[in-house]
Order: sequence, then structure tokens, then C-alpha cells
Amino acid sequence: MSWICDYCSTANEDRDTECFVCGRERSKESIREAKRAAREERTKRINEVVYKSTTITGKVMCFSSIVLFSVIALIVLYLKMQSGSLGDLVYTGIAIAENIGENFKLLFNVNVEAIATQLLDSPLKNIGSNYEAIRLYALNTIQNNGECIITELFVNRSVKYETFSQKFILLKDAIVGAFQSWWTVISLLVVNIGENISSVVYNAEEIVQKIKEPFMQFKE
Amino acid sequence: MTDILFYATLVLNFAGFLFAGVFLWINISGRYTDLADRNASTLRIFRVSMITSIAFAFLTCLLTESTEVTEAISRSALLYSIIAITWLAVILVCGITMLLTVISKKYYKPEISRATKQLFKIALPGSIICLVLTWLFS
Repeated sequence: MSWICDYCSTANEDRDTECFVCGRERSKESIREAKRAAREERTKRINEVVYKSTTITGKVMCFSSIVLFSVIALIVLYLKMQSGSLGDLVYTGIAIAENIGENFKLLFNVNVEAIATQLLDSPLKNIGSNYEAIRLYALNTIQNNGECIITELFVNRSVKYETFSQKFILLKDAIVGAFQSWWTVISLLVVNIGENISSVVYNAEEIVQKIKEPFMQFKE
Repeated sequence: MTDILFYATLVLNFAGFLFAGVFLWINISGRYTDLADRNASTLRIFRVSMITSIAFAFLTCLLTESTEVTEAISRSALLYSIIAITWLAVILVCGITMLLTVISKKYYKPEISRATKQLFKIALPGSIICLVLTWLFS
């Protein structure tokens, strides 16, 4: 390592504190630069040592575990061949495949169905039964009102309506009554939908809680 | 015998984790002239360690005695879960490194970004495969 004199541009040794040609002292920037370079060199050396030691350790671990595993596997296979139980490998493979198959069956036949049932069953059933009740109510109301109109206008011919306004009032009452029934039907449907949405949200929250439970135990 | 196979697989998995750490560290310090060569060799060993540890976990189960199959399958599931957690830890470290370099622009270097992406691309499928295998063997 060397430093260049700022005045006469002579190259001096790093250990010299003043220029050997003009005798001027080494500048502070030059000293700072030299310290920075030395620090970087030291860091680079340390990094290199750490890198080499870590990679050698890692390679030794990899190599030794692969070799150990291969040797043990060969010994096991040799012992199985000697005892004539090499076919055990096939049985073990079949047992593994069966285990995997069971897990798939469990997923699709039980778990997915359970989740779908939990999420969708109750709200849909409620909608279904509520819809039926609302539909019957609506039909009954319309039927009753319709029957009234028909009865009043056409069946009770013995009762004569003298003026048009009397017939009009009767029709008007029937229409208003029908409209009120329809309004009841619509508001009931709106309430029902709101209830089902909150039911789905409640079910989703329950499922999230169930998923969290095992992890809460670990936390404790 | 199967215990030795179990621990050998764990050691191999840990070696892969070590190489992932080395890979990230040489890219963060970035003071090497032959960085590309070092990256290539470290990544290669990391990939080999991951693939062989997955294969060894399966062989640990297959080479067991016929009377101990159920325990062997559980042990393999445990091995796969440990391997999966190791690679998930690698992904987490990659994520934290990227976040720190993005937040503190002073430490940002394109090599770090490239290194974390390369590591992430290998560790993510590996951890997903191990998680699926843990489930299948459980």
C-alpha cells in the first residue's frame, strides 16, 4: 500500500508519515482513505473466511448425510434380500398408497361436505321454508281478496248495486287490500334475506373461531 | 436403522437451510468479484439438498419393517412438516429482506432483489409440495 503526496505527487510507503522527497506531512484525507481501505480489506477477508467455513460445513453436512443415508439404505436392502423379505417394500408401498387414498377420501367425502353443509345448509333451508310460507300467505291473500271481488261482483247478484260509485268503492278496497298484502309479502322477504345474510356471517365467524382454536392452545 | 435415516434427512435439510442463508448473505454483503459463480454453486447445492431431503423422507418410510409401517408413515409426515417449515422460514426471511431494502432505500441493491426472487422461486414450490405430502402422509 502506498500514498501519493499532494504537493510533489511522489508515491510514498504507507508507513511513512511524511513525503520522503518534499518532507510535507501526509494529508488527513489520505490517512482517512487509507484507514477506510484497510477496514474494507479486513471485512473482505473476514467475509471470505466466513463464506468458506460455512460452505465447507454445509457441503460436509450434505455429503455425509447423503453418504450415510445411501450406506444405511443399501445395508437395509441387503438384509432384506438375505432374509427374503424384499417383497416387504411392495407391501409398504401399498400401505402408503392406501394411506394417501384414505386422506383424499376424507377430504372430499367428509371435510368438503361438512364445510359446505355448515356454510350453506342452514341459510338455504331457511330461505326455502320461509319462501314457502310467504308464497302460501301471498296466495291465500290473493285468493281471499279475489274471492271477495268475485263474490261481491258476480255471485251475490241478489244484491244490486244502484250506482257505479258503489261498485268502484268495492273494487278500490279490493285493490288496496291486495296491494297491502303484496307489501307485507315484500317486506317479509327483505327481512328474511337480511336474517339469512347475518346467519351466513355468523357461520363463517364460527368456522374461523374453530380454525383459530388449535393455535390458541399452542399460544398458551 | 430408521432413526439414523430420520436424522440424516434432518441434517440434509438443515444443510440446505444453511446454504439458503449463505446465498442471501453473499448477495447482501455483495463484496465479491465472482458473485455470479458463487450464487450459481450455492443455489445448485440448495436445490440438491431440498430434492434429496424430500426423496429421503419418502425412502425413510419405504425402507422400514413391515410391522412398523404406520409409525413410519407418521415419521415421514413429521419429516415433511419439518422440511416445509424450514422452507417457509426461508420464504419469510426473503420477504423481510425485501421489505427492509424497500423501506430503507440506502440498503437497496439490485443483487439483493434478484437473490431473494431466485430463492423465493425455489423455496415456494418446495414448501407447497412438502405441505401437501405432510397432509397425504398424516
